[in-house]
Amino acid sequence: MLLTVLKAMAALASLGVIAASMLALASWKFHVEVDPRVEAVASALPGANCGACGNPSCFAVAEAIVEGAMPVTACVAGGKSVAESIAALMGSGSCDIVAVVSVRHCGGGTAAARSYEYGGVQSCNAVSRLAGGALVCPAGCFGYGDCVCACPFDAMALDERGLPVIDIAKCTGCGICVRECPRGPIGLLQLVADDAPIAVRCNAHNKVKERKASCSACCIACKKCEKECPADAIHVIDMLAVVDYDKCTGCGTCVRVCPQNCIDLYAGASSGTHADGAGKDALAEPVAAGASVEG
Amino acid sequence: MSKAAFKGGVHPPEHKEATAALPIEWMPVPTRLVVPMSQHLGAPCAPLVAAGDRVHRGQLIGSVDAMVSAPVHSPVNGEVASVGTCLTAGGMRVPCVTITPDTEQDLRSFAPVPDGDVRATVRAAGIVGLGGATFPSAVKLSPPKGVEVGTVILNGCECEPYLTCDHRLMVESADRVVAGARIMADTIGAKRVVIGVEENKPDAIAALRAEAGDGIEVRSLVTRYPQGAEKQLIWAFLKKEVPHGKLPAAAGALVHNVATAAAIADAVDLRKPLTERVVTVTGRVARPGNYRVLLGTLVSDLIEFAGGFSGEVGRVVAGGPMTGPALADLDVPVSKGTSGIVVFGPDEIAPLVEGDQPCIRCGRCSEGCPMFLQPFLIGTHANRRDWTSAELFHPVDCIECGVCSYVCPTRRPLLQLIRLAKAAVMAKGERL
Repeated sequence: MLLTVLKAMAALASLGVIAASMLALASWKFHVEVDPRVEAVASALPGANCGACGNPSCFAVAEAIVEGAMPVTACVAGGKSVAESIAALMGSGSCDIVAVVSVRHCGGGTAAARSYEYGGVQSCNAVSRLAGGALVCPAGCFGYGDCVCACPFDAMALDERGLPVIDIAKCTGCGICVRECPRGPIGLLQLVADDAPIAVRCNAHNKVKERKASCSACCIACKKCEKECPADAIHVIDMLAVVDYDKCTGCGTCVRVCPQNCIDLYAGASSGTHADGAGKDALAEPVAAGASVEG
Repeated sequence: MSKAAFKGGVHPPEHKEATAALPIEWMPVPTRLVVPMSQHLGAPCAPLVAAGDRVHRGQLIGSVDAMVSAPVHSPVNGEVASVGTCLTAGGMRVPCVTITPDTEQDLRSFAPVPDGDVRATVRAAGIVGLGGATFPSAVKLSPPKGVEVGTVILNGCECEPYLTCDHRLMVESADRVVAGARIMADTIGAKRVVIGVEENKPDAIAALRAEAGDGIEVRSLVTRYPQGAEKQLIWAFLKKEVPHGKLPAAAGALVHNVATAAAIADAVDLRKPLTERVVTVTGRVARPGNYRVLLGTLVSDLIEFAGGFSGEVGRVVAGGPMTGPALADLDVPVSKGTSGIVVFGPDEIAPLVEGDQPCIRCGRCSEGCPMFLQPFLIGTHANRRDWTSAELFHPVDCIECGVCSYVCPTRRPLLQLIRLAKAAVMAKGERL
């Protein structure tokens, strides 16, 4: 009886030894040299595999950084802290990085006039293939939220005006929304420094008369903002107000004088305020510091 | 002889009776022509004229130095009013030349295209696939080296409902169609020529058989959509599939539309550039018909010539109703690919579907798909913007016939979703 038990134990033990030695042999024989820095860099990255940098996974970025194919600042979502820790690991590379956020240059939404009835796939990229989109405005937001679907950080949402609102506290400036937007190449969504104080909610360069007929929220190129700005930071270029963020002090004069209410105070992530679509109303009631208010 | 066919497809109501018996009629020269510089697949042309220039009928007014392209000629004698951009029926904004025609016109005379061999002539005459795909014909006539093309297939199916322009052309100009087929077969050294016509056009089959003579087969095909698609015709006659990602030449065939064949015959025999085409105007118009229309004529002018709308209008479609885009604006020009203008009343169109419709897994789209794809799966993945999963079901092989959207009982916009997936997959291919 005892012998039977011992036999079984011995058989199992010897199977275990054989299997273990085979595994040991295999791990020695098929060992792949991995640069230890790749693993270190990979662990410093957020590991969300968001794809914002254009690579399929964080591990691929780590390999690219170690090979020198990408800079230590490659991870757009990680921002400065990740860049600094990678720079420390790599022992080189400047980690000067300007945190950016996305800003929307349109305040039209559902109020903007449509050029035809549309009933197909509810996607901006789908509608933009049909006669340039159902919007009369050649530069405005279609409002189907392709950017919202694409945002890997849940930083965008469509509001009741049918416009994507960017939560700048969550926005990492990865730029996926700008790439996804069919009107991204013409500047509907734009990446700006995260302390950019002002946002012009219009992107149209067509004739002001046409623009006014198709949208009540557009810039009418009246130049009031340009005349009133004490810092010479806003100019009407090609029939549209454009902010020079290098000069802008964020005083809010342009927001106050804009008769169309199409300039928003957009104090960035650093101050934590964000008045989207509120225009001069935001100035009447100053936003509590640290709060994220969305129009 | 047995009737050839392909697998899959649908047979929508034909609605061809309104115009099938009406002879082709010239539409008079309108007061304004807007000639788009991109009436073909491929690189758009650059305008060669400026505002104020005199142009004469047949004069080259747009060209580009690219392999896949087709030059554009002035359809009339007149003066260039402006050079700008216009919207095409397909919804693209392209450069265009606006011409004010002279009040006196002789449409029988034209500036001939320069002498050259058949391929050079076809290219210089600006001939593209007139069935609607508008692929430059000269490119098709130059198969890759080492590929033997044994069969020329002419597509006289006209499988789209409502349209009768090719039908009338085959009845009235069967000699031109047959001459074009002979020219193409000689150019590429094909031994066999087959003209395929759906069995619902017996008069066209009879007219072509009377002209065909030796060496040209005229065969009737089962009336089913999309019988006139390139790969489906090749299967019907040769029982060969075109391999994934390859041209029909890989299956030893060259497929051209009958109207393209007639245009090629005119270009080679008469040195005539492509400046007009036959357009079927039908549906809710006072005077439906098959009209020979100068390229660049505005759809609004064409509808006015056809007696204007009769009753309320629900939708105006450029081309056949299965593949043609609905027009948002009637001031778009007729171009080389515009085979018809179909006007639907409000009672004839389905209401717009907003939002996502559920797939009930009935499988009708898969049964109907002539390319044996699974449109409901591509659609589901495309709806979630999951292009990696969509790619597994080969959206790139889709011929965009629209059968899936037509048969879907919950009216999902399947073709539109597949087009999105196709574009995304192809863009990915370019990046790699």
